Amino acid sequence: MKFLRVAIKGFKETVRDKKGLAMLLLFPVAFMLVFGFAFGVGSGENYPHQIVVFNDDIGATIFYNNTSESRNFGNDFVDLLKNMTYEDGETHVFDIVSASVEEADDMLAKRHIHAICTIQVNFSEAMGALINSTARETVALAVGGALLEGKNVTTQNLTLPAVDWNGTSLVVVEGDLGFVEFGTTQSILRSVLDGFVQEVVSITQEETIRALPSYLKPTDWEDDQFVTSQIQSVPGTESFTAFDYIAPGILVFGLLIISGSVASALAREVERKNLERLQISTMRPFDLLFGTMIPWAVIAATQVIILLGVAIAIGFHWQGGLNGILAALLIGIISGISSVALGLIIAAFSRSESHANTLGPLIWVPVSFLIGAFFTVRAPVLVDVLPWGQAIEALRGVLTFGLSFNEVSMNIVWMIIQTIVIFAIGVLAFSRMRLKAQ
Amino acid sequence: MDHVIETVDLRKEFPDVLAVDGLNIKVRRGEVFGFLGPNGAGKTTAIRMMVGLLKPTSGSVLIDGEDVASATFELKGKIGICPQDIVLWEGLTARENLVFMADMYGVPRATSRTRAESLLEEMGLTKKAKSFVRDLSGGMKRRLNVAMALMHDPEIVVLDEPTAGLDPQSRVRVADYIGKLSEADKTVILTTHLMEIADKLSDRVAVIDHGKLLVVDPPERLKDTVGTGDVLEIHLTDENKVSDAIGAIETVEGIDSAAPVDGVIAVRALDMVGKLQRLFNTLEERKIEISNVSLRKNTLEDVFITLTGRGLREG
Ligand SMILES: Nc1ncnc2c1ncn2[C@@H]1O[C@H](COP(=O)(O)OP(=O)(O)OP(=O)(O)O)[C@@H](O)[C@H]1O
Ligand SMILES: [Mg+2]
Repeated sequence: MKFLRVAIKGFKETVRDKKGLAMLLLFPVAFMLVFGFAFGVGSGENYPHQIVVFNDDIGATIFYNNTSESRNFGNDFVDLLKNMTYEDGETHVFDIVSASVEEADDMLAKRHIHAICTIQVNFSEAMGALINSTARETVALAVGGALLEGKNVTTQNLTLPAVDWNGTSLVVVEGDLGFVEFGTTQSILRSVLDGFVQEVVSITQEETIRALPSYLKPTDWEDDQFVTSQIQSVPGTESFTAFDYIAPGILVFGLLIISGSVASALAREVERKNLERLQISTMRPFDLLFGTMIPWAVIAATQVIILLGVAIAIGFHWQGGLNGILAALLIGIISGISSVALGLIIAAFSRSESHANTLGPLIWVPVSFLIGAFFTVRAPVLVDVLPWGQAIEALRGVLTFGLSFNEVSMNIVWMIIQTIVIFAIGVLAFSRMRLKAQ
Repeated sequence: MDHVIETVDLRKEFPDVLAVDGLNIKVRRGEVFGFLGPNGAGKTTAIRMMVGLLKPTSGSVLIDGEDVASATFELKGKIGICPQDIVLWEGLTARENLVFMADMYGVPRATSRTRAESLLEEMGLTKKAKSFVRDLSGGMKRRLNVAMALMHDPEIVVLDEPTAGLDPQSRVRVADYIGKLSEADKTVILTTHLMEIADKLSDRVAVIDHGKLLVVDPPERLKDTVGTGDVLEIHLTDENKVSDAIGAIETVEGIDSAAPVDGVIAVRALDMVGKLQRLFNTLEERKIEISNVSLRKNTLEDVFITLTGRGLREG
């Protein structure tokens, strides 16, 4: 178990290097504080975001439970935007300005409004499709569950709606990328939309179960459960501040800069030739690289706890309870491992510790912007290909919007895949450049 | 003859210098092999190739007949190296450094603990066992650097300047320990600029310069080739008369050679004492005044200087 020995040695070195550790842990804390006071409730300044909304939704007829109903989800969504308030219950989150398309473009250019939100023509149709597929899924699950329990299932009186829609974009948000307000507004809009969709899904599930024959209903089901006929609020956003949206980004930023410390530590070993000692020993590269990873993953977990603690202390509205924290820890550890991998790549191309110290920020500063750690980036492709971008989305999901672990599992799966890729590149580069006879 | 290490036409070219130039060396099992040469001669480069840290431009190194490039675990476990640069983990204590090194060679903890204690003792570092390396003095680090090479009890111990920067006591301590290694039948490759130590410890000495092997022989034989007998060093009151004096000295019967060395004249001859009177008389006749003389035995240093000349090496 040489990698464990390497890990223990790494632990000792890191913990004993008090200054380095303090820098690593406190630097992101400072960021968190600055952003917390700039955008959070700490400043006591929650204000409505001016937006223009175009609702092009033509509505749709939704079939379910053998009934049909004509709905316009676009209108529901606009109502939600109109009525949403901050925690104080008075200040509205959005101030919806009415304007024509030309006026809106002009106002946006002059920064009189923060964003233009267009609900597309087929929004209700898409929601209908979502409802249908949710209903199918729910029925299938119930039937499956009953079968597994050995019940006799007759399916004649169950109708399953068809799923025949595969469009994508539902709501388009336009704005000025260089305008900080746009970033925040767009973020909140996106989260409200996520919440809206989520709520529609859970209502559908509820309604579908209600309509099932009683032997198919879950044992703990009570028919008099509250019926939500109209969406009034989105959980987790009643008390929303911009900081709630930003905090997960800062947290991931804290994890990203671990790459710099890893690179410095490895480059130091290269420069002082400690690595040569290991190279001629019977240690394998795996022991070194895996052993190096472990302490940093623990530091990443510590980082998550500290930063989350600080964020909550200065007014981050954390959702999702203890499970949210556990999910955040897992996400944090995976991001930490990605950062170790990035550190390996930086170290592979650094001749010395000081070189790594220069090269490191040249990498992690741009990356932190690309992944939208501070401000939302318009190019989601860039955010999504990097594990830290996925981490921000996942953390926002579980911590800001109180999503369940399952709901962010795709982000986590992607993160793991991306981390493996980066780690493989890191191991290859580092072994090639630093663990071979020159 | 049983050879542990064999270099075959070993060559290393760096972008601006040919550091090792066709080196053929055979190190015998169990011997202490002194590896001497002026600064920049290529010793460290050759050693780094021998332990597999540096890839030769051409040629190869065989350890027990196996190419180092193969880098098998078994082969790696046979070699222990004390590099010329001090290489330690500054944030670990002296003992932790030793035990960690042993860990990396897969030595069981029980063995490595006792071995660490005994090496700390041998190197006079017992009191510093728990000190962080960054808090040790330069000489202490140097001694720990030597101990690091020995934690996995290698058959071949390569010591690149183990005594650099040590005070006389520590030097003796390290030298004594190298003696013990030799008694324990280890093969030792030793580079040092201290001729006395090389002379005392080495079974055979190789002198290299400009990456080329000049000689390999036991120290005694090397000293004989330079000139048997004694060396007389004469300091003159007036240094301008050095060449006059040399001319005069060379006329004296039985003198092997006379040469200027840093303003001092080094005279070689067998049975110098018997010739002293005649030598002094000759100088006095020419009104050359002597300020100081000293008589000593021929040393390895003489061999070294004779072979490699006096110029500073800068490449
Ligand atoms: N990595 C390197 N890159 C370029 N040149 C090098 C490198 N390492 C050594 N050299 C050159 O190779 C030559 C031999 O150096 P080497 O370190 O082997 O000498 P040495 O005999 O060990 O000297 P010393 O007694 O000073 O330790 C020198 O000219 C040195 O500048
Ligand atoms: Mg050297």
